Amino acid sequence: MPYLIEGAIAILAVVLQVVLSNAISILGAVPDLGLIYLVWTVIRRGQLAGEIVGFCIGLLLDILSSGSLGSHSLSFAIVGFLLGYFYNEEETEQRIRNWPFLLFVAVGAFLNGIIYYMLFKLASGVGVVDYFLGQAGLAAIYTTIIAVIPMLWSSRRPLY
Amino acid sequence: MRRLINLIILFKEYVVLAALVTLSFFLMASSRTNEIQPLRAMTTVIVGSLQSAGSWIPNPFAISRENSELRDRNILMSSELSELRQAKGENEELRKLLGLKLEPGWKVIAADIVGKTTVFERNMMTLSIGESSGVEKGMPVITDAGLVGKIYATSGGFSMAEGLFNTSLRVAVKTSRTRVDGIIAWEGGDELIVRNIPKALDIQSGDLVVTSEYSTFFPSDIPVGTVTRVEDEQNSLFRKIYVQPAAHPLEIEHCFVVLKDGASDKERSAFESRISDELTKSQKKAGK
Repeated sequence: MPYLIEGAIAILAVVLQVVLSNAISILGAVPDLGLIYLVWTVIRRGQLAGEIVGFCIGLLLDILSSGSLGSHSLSFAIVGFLLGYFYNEEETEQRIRNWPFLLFVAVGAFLNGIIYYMLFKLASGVGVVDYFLGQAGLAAIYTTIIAVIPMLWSSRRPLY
Repeated sequence: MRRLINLIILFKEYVVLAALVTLSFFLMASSRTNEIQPLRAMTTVIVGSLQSAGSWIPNPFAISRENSELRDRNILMSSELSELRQAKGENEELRKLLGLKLEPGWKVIAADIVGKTTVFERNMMTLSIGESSGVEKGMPVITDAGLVGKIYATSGGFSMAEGLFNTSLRVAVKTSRTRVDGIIAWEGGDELIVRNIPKALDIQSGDLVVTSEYSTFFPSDIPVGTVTRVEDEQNSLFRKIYVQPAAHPLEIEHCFVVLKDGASDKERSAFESRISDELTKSQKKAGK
């Protein structure tokens, strides 16, 4: 049952991100709700769950956003794998309910941007600095700010 | 086999990642194939419908940006509208000037008023033409409405004219209805004044005042203004007449300079000067 609920939350996050993209965008940048959920999962369940959930969320995002199929699933799976190295079972609650959660989200957004840039933007000749000073950087900051909401929400209720 | 399974379990994160990366690349390679297209089309329709349903939610940042852009465009369009209105007014003014009817023999040259200055009580206008266009000191400046002033000074490409609202300019005038003569001048305010008009003479409000033949500078019958009121001067046999100028010097932007027939004017001036000198001499002799 908890897995079903978590799956529903993941789908809801990605659907909201795609459907409300026009309403919540700032200067064209949209917060990555799927990434926030991925970080949440990695902190709670570790590296293996992170890469699988990342792949699934990315695939859903690819399907719904009409993007290149497999692009987000690849980058999210790698982000889930890399963030999984910092998994610590004993500090799960502390990390989710405090500022480390925001740090994880910011690092995740940055890694996601790097991977996406190397796979899809490098060949097009876009400079990495220009890329991060543009929408990618803005989206990372926006995502980190939005991540304050689940952090505060989780700090007011038991996780399990 | 068991050792292999143990190895996979030991490095399961890496194995799963390798599988997921491979699957992702496979999906990327096949995302353009015809088999995937129906699925993409279906998701596009569903997402489009959902986005359409959620489009009523306003984006304050986008609205703010749109407002800012619309405000900028509004300012730009207001500026263009102002320019168009100005061009329209200028066009109407120039059309009127084209319809200006002058007596045969007059030559006029069009000029723009490029500056207006006030020095003490002398309202001056700078015209865009000067000596190179044949403009000389003393030439009348007119518009289709009437007299504007007189050329006061010239340079190669510019000239300065003193307007009717100028305490140093006096013009010989007459009323067009009853041919009553006088000298019109400005003494401040919005109107011109003709003094020393005998009370017995017939002048009424609304009478047109035009330039007189007696003027050595201005051709006759150029409208100067309209009588607005007539006042008796106290303890005097005279009246003073207030005249609203036909062409307000402060409102015009284009004008004509009347190029006078120099030979006849000079002859007249010389003749009048000679007679005046003779009269002065005879008076002096009579005095002795």
